[in-house]
Amino acid sequence: MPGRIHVVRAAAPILLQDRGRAGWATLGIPTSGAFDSLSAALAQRLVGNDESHAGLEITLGSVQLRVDTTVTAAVAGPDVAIWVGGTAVAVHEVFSWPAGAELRMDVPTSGLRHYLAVRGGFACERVLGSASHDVLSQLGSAPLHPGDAVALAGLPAGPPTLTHAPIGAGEEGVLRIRLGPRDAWFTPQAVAALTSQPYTVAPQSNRIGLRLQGVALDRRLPGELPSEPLQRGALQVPPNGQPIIMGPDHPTTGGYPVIAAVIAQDWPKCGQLRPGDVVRFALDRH
Amino acid sequence: VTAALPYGDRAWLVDEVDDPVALAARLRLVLPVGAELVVGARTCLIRYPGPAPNRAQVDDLIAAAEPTEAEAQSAEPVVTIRVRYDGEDLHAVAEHTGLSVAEVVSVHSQATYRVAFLGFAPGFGYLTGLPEVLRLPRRSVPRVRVPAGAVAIADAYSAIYPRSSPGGWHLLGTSAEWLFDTQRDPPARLRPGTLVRFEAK
Repeated sequence: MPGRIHVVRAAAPILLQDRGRAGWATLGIPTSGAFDSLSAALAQRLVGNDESHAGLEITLGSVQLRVDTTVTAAVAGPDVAIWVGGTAVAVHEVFSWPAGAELRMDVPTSGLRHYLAVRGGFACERVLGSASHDVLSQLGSAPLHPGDAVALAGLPAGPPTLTHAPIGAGEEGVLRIRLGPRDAWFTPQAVAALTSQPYTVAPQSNRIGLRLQGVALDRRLPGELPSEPLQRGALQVPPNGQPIIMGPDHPTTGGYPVIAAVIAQDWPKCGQLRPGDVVRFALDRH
Repeated sequence: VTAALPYGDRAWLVDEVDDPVALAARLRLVLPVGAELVVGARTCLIRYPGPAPNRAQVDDLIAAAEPTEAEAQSAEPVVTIRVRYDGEDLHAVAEHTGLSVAEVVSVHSQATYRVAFLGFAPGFGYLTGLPEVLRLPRRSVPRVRVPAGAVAIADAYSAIYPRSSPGGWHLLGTSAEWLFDTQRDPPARLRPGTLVRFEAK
């Protein structure tokens, strides 16, 4: 019988996230979806679910969850200490989570987001085809706070094809970018600074955008653009010259020029950057 | 001159487009399945689910989407929005424009508008066609909360707030019409190209 997972403690709201609701941007609806989509998909594969299933997106660890029926589960993301009913389990390990047991997760020492998947998935509200909670537009499943619960769907799942999946991280702190569409609006010095100077992730960052602090990117052309479509990974530059990397819940249009864009392969990496992390940008050679 | 600007590895931004709505309609016919079009004020973004094609391929795509002489004028839907002209800024707008309140209402409600693009919030359409006399810069201090259904103007645009949100536009009135509803298909009442008329009630 499908049961529920109860949130006993959570430092930040826990969000249901799947692959998002692509296709509606021209109506002003962001795509949303798991910020670190690679980890989210891996967690689903580990428990034998289709990758389109929703998982729990946990920000900065520090959660305590209880399940009222025995489930098969996995957590993907940065290395972190996890205990299930007092037994240690590793990230990227498939484990049995017994009925009534508590799952406790520490704060990760690096990285930011974890994805918890349960075999059979969650029974959650879908809006425009997706359970993803969009923090900008307030669409999708409601965020989970202590005292809240999410129901298990108990859907049929395939045979798990992985039991343990260590993954190698790419070069830490380097994001590959391509210049454009509006690099011509900036001074050559700004373009040079972007690809040579470090930028620090600011505390105001969230799923809408990662705010960076570093050498200000000065403009050659003043003014604003007529509103134009935004894209995930875009480095939008407001008048203070400090770039913002657009996250999964970014607004669909904006008027500040975009100097460059992070390539799609590095979007999941953006989901693991936390305030204080230092990033560098490297031109993608294609 | 229409030109495609690079936008990461999964998109191209078509710039300097006179009518992005019309371009998007033509591009839709020649785009591969899974690609998405997002319309801006003077631009149209082509998003791909995987790696974007190279510049030559995108140029070909845009060329294939050139308007043809024989092209039939597509019939855009007309949406009529009934408005109670009781907005908080109605008197201030009258003062700034030198019109009477009755004239503001009549000028705003007699124009025909067209949704240029959406953004800011789901279902929030930027309506072009605002008469010159009503064009005012945004409020210097935005409101923390603009009620859902607020009919507003700023710069060259008019808009209806689909949901309550912060906002810096001048509020002319209130509408009870639905604009964004995830239970409907499509979920937004307005889409790029929709014609809009306001009717004073």
